[in-house]
Amino acid sequence: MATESKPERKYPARQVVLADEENVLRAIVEEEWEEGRGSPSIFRRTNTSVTRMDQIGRENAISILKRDVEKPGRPERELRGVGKISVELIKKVAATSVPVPKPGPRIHLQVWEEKIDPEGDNPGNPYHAEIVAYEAEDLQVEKRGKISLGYSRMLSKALHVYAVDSDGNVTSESEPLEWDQPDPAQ
Amino acid sequence: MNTECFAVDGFSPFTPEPPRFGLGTYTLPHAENEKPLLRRGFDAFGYVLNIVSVGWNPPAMRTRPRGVLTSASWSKSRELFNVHTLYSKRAYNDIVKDSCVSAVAAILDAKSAERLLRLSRSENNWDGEGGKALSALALFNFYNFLCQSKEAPRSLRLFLGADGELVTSWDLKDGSTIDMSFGDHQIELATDLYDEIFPVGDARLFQLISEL
Repeated sequence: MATESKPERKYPARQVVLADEENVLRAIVEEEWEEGRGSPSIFRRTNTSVTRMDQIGRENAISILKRDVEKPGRPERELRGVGKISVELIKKVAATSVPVPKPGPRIHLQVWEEKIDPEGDNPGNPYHAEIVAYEAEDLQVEKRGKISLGYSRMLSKALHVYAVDSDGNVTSESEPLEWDQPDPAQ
Repeated sequence: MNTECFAVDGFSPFTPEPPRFGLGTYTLPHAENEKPLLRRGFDAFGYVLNIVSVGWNPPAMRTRPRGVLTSASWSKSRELFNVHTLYSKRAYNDIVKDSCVSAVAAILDAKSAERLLRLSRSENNWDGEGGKALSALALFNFYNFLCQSKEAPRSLRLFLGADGELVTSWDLKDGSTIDMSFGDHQIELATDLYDEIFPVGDARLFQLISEL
């Protein structure tokens, strides 16, 4: 998350899909953080930045996220926590029907490698990836508009959340919440 | 209807009648087919007119009286346009937003009020990914929602959304949570069983919440 420069143009973006078993970290800033967990709306964008935790380890991934979020000149930005989730679970949540009387459109998610090359003062992030939403299962057309609050909420609940202090140390953690509610109609 | 909601800094509402839920009370004509810039101008007028109608007392009107607003909406528009010219657009928006924050904070508990104040201070790009600052219109829609609600949310948690929405979460009686996102023109609701979007002013929202 939190990259102020766009991915390098020459980099062949969205060509490498992350393996299902890989874990990624989603940064959670002050505005999205209450009582040890993240906002239900942190996955509403159709492309959500994450960092590939398994490749560099949790502590290093947190360091990169802190560096990218807490830019010099933006003292008000503060990384309060990170949420860990596997690619497999991301897809599983997307494939789950929200048991609503008036269901909205389903979502289809894919997680792509999206390295950010160094440029100027930006050191880049070779472990950057993106969760991308698509209109249909064939993953050909990116979703227009935002992911619904219901799906974002489920993804947020599925996160294993780590609270971090101002030095980037993990101070507490919160297990994933129950995100998959049984449909009472069944 | 909780009429106390309309008293901002002890100021009496301009109109004795409570506002209708949401915006649209003063919809200016021709806005739909105009260019985006003009449309934005109309939108700005729209929400200022609505805020004034529930009691917002702009400092400009206190210190530099420019006549009494008439009952005709066009006259109100002209008057507010004059007020608008006194300020830069940024300062004008800040005044509107601060007024909205004060109004909402006054009906929240201390913890939530402090949190709201913190969220209202976040500037554009607060997350490094282009997240927008809290929208005054979204705040106003939340304010109206609270005024219309029969009971105050329990254990309210507040967040900022990527497009400047005010995102709320609180506990229901059965232990589950209800999440809502108050935007400029719509209100989204999600629970374990629902995932719906309501236009601002849709009474079905309250019907649904009353059944949860």
